[in-house]
Amino acid sequence: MRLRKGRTVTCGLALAIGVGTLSLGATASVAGADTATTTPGITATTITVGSISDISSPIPGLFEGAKVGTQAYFDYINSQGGVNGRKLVLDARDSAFSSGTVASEAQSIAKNDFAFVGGYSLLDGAEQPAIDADKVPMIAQTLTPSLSADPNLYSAIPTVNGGAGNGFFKWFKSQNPAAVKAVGFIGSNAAASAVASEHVYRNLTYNLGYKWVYSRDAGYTETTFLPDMIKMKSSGVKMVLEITEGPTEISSMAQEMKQQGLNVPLVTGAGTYSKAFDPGSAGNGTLLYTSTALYMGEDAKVIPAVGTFDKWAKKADPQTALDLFTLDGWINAQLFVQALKNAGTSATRASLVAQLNKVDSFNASGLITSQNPAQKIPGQCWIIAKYNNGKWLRTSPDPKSAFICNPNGFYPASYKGIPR
Amino acid sequence: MTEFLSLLVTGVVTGSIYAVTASGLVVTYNATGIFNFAHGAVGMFLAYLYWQLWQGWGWNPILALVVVLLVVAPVFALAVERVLMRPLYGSSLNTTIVVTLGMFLILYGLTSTIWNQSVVRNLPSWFSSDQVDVLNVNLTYEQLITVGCAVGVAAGLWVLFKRTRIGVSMRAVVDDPALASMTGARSSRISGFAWMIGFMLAGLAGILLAPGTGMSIQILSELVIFGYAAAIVGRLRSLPLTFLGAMILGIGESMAVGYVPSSALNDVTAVLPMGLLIIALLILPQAKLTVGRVVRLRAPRVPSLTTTVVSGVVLVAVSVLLSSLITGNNLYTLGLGLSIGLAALSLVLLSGYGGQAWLCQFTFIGLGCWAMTKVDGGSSILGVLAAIGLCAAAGGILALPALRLRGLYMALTTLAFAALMDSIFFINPSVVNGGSLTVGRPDIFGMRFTSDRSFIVLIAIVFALCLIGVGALRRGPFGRRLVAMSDSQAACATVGMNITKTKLAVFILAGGLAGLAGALYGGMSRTVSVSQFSFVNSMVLFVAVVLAGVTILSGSVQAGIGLAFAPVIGLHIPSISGFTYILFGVGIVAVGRNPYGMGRVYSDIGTWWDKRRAEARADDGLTGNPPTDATGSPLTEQVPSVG
Repeated sequence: MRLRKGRTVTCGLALAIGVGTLSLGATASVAGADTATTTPGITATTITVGSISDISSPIPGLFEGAKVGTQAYFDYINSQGGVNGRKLVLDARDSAFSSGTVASEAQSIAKNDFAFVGGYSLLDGAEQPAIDADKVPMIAQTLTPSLSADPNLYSAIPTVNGGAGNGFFKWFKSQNPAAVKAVGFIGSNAAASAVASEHVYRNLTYNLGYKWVYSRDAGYTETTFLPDMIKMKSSGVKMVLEITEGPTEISSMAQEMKQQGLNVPLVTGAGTYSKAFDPGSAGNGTLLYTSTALYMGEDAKVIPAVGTFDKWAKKADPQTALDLFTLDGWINAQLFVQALKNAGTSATRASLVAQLNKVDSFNASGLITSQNPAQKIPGQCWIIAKYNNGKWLRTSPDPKSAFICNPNGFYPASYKGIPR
Repeated sequence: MTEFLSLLVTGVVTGSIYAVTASGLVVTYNATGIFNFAHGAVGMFLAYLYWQLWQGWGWNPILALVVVLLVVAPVFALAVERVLMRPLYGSSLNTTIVVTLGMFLILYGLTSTIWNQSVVRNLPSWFSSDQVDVLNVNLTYEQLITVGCAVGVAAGLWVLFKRTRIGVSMRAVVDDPALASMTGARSSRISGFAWMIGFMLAGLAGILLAPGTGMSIQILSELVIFGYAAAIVGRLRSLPLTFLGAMILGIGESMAVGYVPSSALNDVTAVLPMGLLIIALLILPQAKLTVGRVVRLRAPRVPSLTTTVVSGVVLVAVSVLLSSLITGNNLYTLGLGLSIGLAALSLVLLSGYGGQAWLCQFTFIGLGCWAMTKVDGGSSILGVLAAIGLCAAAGGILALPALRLRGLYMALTTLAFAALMDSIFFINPSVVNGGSLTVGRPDIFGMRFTSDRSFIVLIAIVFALCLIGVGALRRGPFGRRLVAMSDSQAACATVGMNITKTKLAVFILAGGLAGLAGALYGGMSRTVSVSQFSFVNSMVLFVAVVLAGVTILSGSVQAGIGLAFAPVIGLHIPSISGFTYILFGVGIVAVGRNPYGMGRVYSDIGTWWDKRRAEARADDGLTGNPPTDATGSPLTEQVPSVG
């Protein structure tokens, strides 16, 4: 029987909502079912692990290095027969820069793969529910504070939210007591993490007696820092600290410092160790402090792992930039393999975690300073390198394969109330 | 005084870069009436080509420069003008905006596919460390060349427009195309010439910028947006004023560094380019701001209540069915697609019905997510109401400039608002700690929607209700006022319609709808990064809605689903790393000039099918009259009617 229009409308809407409500009940009852009875990702011949990285978006190729580094280490291990008779397989996923994709890929990895190893994503927080739900071990560098603190998370270089090592700054102050009284800083406001990091370094150096006399956050589309150089010069800046800006921007700053005769030390962090830092001779004398070896090849003669890393990374991807993300993938894969070997032939997620919990000292065969992944305590050692005509040269310590260490040098960022 | 002069000189250097970028925009707009949103992407693409010739293939840098700027750029421009732009002359503003945005996306995707972005590329300086002292500032030869280029461009364009026949013809075409054509001016030749100059200037800007910014597709293509302020100071017409605007911007940035107190410096430098753009838009005389034209279009048939309700029911039913069939990433993507579709629906209301070009919808989604997290633990229906309320209020505030701005200027205002929110709100650690938000799902009458399927069904029901609501609005007096306002504000004012009230209402409504979409988007994602609210994403959403059909309700569903699933499809084609950008770019270039977007394509297919059937019936000896619509017009002119 044909109903009047209004009646049709009401019935149709009620039907839709009713169907929807039924669906809510149905899906609620399905959720939570766990039928896994065997260890996912492990067969007689292979162990498959997953990773999620930002590859195709927001900038194509952004963190592809993380995938390349992990794959390279697995290729290297597989060339030696694998781990306990099994080959390692990387199930690398692309986040497509969608947190929904990250969350669902994480669920898929949690169900099908043995562990998460080596990915890198700006949206890594979306992996956490799947990791927690299935208690899947994750061995990777992370950005989201809650994930960094997650009990299932192990990082080759542990991250402590709102903190950084202060050893280098103690050393620098001892060498340049006058310079630290007039610090110039140009930060980045391109990413929230960079702005947060700036607060950490401001607090850290303030606590050591550094005085910031000039600071500004620059937008990512700024083309020149000449006004900053003029202002820093007139403000009596005696050292320029660049930690949160990118290597291209720091490259421009080095050139413009030289250009304006601001001849003071330029101190930079690990991000500057990149092929994108290319200031020519204007960058000569730029200081770099980092808790990694000079992994793009400079340290290959004294740290054999550097040569191995370079060789296998280029095999995995001949166009690889050998960037920090590639190293991150490699060292986390190495941490995973170390624990997996110790877990034996009948490894399970629980036994892997048990072995990871024993790794309280890890240096990736000298590629990084000694870290404590089990306790989530970052390393307190570092090296200093100086830029000279297109090359980074270690200036300290001697011997060249070693690192300078400051026990108890870590600064927790609970300190508040520092004036900006 | 010395420091002041030094800062002045550095400001002139920065201003010169803005001047070169903005002048290309103005020249093109002057001669064609098209504001090229792809101007930066053209410069980026040509800079990459220059890198390839010089660094990649080892060409002589001067030869490479000549080839890129004097051969490739003009040929490329002529091809674009002939194929893409010529059919647009006289089109609606939304059409010209989205087609140039489409070109932006194509170039962005193409460049990232050709030049693997995981490879570091540096464009070296032409001169290593040579420099000259100018008023106590050491300038490199490159910086002097940049200033020289700006002066040269200014002088060259002045001579062109004042002293050459084609330049005078260009001005004549702008003033009165019909009159100009009667005097023998060939508008196609003139516009082609304008596009050539525009592309050459874009390439020059890209090549000048690349050594300082690095070979970054993102920075090079977006940087020109900060030159919009200069172009608007010149009212998109006057080159001298454009150069003045560029210098105000460059010197303003420099002086801010020198003299603004450190406690306010970050905010001032972050706000300056977009702030100047908004101020320029607001203080310029209103009469000069009235751009665009009324384009006579046959409006789509207004969907009936039955149609919208049936559509809503189908939407919910299909969502329920799909959510029970698909799993994993596809399931999540469906949920995200529906929530983005809800945001797209606000664009149908605002842009499709109200005629306002909005390029900040993802900013509203971000505000909605943020509000959701701030209220009652982040998992409350009160959070949803807060998201709606906050975004409705923000919409109301944005309506204020809209009371006197229209068309392109309104689009630029919303773009500036989005860029400002990116750089001063979402980036602020005290607002969003760590750059990401953990968004909860609302608890409604004890239902917590913890499973993704249940939440997707909730989103579908909300979306369906909103579709029905917007359809009802469109059929009512308010909808008729909106469409009338979109057609002609002057006519509306003449008949006594309260335009202010109508504009304010539609902005508040659309803002609230986008806020609701944000709360649901956040709940579906659970964790969102603030970089997802970038103004570039808003531009892509606008393109997607117009592509799907901004004047029809179903366009919002298609836009949301398409935008969510395109990256997932792209995952299966890793060799085309810019797949999503290319897909939407090509799509919008292909069908974007039709105000009904893909709706028109479906309609054409239906028409073709009806004709086939009619022909078949005629062959069978039945009646041979082609189907007609209610007015008796052939159905080939029919437009989509489904909401």
